[in-house]
Amino acid sequence: MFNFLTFKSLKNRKFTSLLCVLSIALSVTLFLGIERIRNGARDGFTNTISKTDLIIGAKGGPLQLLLYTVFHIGGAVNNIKVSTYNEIKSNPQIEWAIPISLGDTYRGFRVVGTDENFFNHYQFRGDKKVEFQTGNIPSDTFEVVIGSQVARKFGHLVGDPIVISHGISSGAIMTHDQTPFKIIGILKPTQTPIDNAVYITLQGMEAIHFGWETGTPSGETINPERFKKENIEITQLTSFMVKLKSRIAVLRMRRSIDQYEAEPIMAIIPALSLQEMWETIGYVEQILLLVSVFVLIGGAMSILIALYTSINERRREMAILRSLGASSQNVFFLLLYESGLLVFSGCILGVVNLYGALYFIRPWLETNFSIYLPIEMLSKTELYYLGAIFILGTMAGLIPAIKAYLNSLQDGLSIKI
Amino acid sequence: MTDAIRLQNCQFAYHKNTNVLNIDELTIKKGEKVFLYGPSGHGKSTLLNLIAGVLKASSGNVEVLGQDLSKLNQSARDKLRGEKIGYIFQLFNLIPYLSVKENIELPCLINKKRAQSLTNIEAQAMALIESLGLFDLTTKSVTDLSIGQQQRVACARALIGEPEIIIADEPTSALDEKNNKEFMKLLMNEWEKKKFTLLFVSHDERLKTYFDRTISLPEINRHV
Ligand SMILES: Nc1ncnc2c1ncn2[C@@H]1O[C@H](COP(=O)(O)OP(=O)(O)OP(=O)(O)O)[C@@H](O)[C@H]1O
Ligand SMILES: [Mg+2]
Repeated sequence: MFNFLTFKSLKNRKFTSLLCVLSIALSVTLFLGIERIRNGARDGFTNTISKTDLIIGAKGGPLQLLLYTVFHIGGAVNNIKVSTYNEIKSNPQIEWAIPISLGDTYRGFRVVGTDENFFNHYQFRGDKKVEFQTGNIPSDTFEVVIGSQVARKFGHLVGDPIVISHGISSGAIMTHDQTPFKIIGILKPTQTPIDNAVYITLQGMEAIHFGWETGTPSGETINPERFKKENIEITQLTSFMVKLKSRIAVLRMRRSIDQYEAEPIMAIIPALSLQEMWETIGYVEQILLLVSVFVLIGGAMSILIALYTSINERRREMAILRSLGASSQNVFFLLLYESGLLVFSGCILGVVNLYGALYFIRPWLETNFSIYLPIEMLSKTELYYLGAIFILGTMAGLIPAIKAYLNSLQDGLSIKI
Repeated sequence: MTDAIRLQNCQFAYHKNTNVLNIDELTIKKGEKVFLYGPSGHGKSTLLNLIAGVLKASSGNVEVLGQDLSKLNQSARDKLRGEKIGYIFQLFNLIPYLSVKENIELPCLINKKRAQSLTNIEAQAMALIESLGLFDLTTKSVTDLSIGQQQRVACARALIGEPEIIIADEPTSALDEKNNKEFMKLLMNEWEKKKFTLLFVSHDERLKTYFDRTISLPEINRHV
């Protein structure tokens, strides 16, 4: 009885029913979409780096250390001595260490001096490693590997020569044009800051500054022998990342680094720092959540309004149903069922829209915001949300249903319009 | 038990202390055609609501087909109505979003027992459509029907499943002379075939010629 009557009645009010379903669908899509983006942004952010236990650099702001080492934002006030790096690296508790040397840019993208440990051990988003689209690890002094965005933006291919600019300010005009590099590899997209950087060897980083000891090019010609990798001595680094053999040792190691005597250095735990940092910018998340809740309330209101305004027109219909043996409770459930059906269709359509929208905005979010959104099944939480939305929407239908119930009690079989 | 409807010392008030109905005794036998008339506002529709089990008497007894309605709960009364009573209103009998045929079959959908007595709902609906002269209308939307046609569809719907009692609350008062006559003729035709109990309400006394017995509500209702 309910199915038949409800379908016919909703079909009769096609336009309002459709609007109702669409508005519910819109709120479902927005709500779930915002949730996905919210989670995607947080996961993407907090998983920019993983498996690394400590990041070590010159004493200063911990946030700063995280920003310049992982996100290539800002710079270090002081460098650290390579001897410090060597000493800590030789600690038996260290599984691996990745040195980082910063300070130059390539057409606005950061140049990172590092060694093969970066390519072998650096991990992000759980256990993802740096992978090559083409080419391989830079080994010679003037070899460079570029991130996927750099390659995309300039259309670079393996073999192209590039010239690095001195300094990290956006208007860097002095170039290391005496020491051009050759691209020998392009990395796969990672949706992390890696995509926006170019990687050279530590020796390369030293070599381009030969004759720059004063901060400007001296103009002297450098003996090519000095550029040979084995002849270059590395003196300083910006920071380095380490992984310990045992997690239990992390805190103790951190304390001992903070008290390191030879020079003032500090260590941060990247996972913790990322979490802290996300929390400080987390109010954006709260606002998004609030917006989606309001959208949802709007959707529920649309059901309430659509059904409530129809109740008076339908008094007659309810009296007829009563005369045919329907109870007041039947009338109540008939209306509740209508709203339930509207909300249900809205939820289904909303989920369909979500996947449609996800499919289309995914590449855009990835390239522009480095937000990685896998197209996954609905999570348990999302199913709970859908359940809650369904209940909320049906509850909105409760008010017209109660009204219809009371009407039918009052009217009985005689109704005066 | 040959009484279809029986009221004893029955009182009803919408609001406390203002009785609309106060009936000592009213008995309608099975198969009887009864004409109930009374001026407007005298409680005719109220009485029908009591018999249909939508309203409950404040005191006294209302028995329908041997069942004391005061002893039944609301849902049992709703069931009894759906199963045994066909009801025709003065106007707007039809659900606008259902077709003529769907309207006629609706009682069987709402009350399963009403359908059980039928071997073939479709066949009976078609038979009623045929005998009430609705054949050309089956595909029409009910909102396109004239009032006379609507009342005939309502009549067919009340009759489907052969309920024992048909209650008609001024079914002809919105019709013109010609339609009025035609409706009465068709209704009487059906009665000849099925011999249901018919309780027909109107304030138009001229219609009483069609019936076995005439009851004046003001005469039996002590209150007014
Ligand atoms: N739902 C209601 N609540 C309160 N009073 C009501 C209600 N329905 C009817 N009444 C009152 O009960 C009395 C009888 O009304 P009822 O509708 O039974 O009269 P009627 O004889 O059917 O009149 P008509 O010929 O106009 O249909 C009237 O005085 C009316 O005002
Ligand atoms: Mg009346």
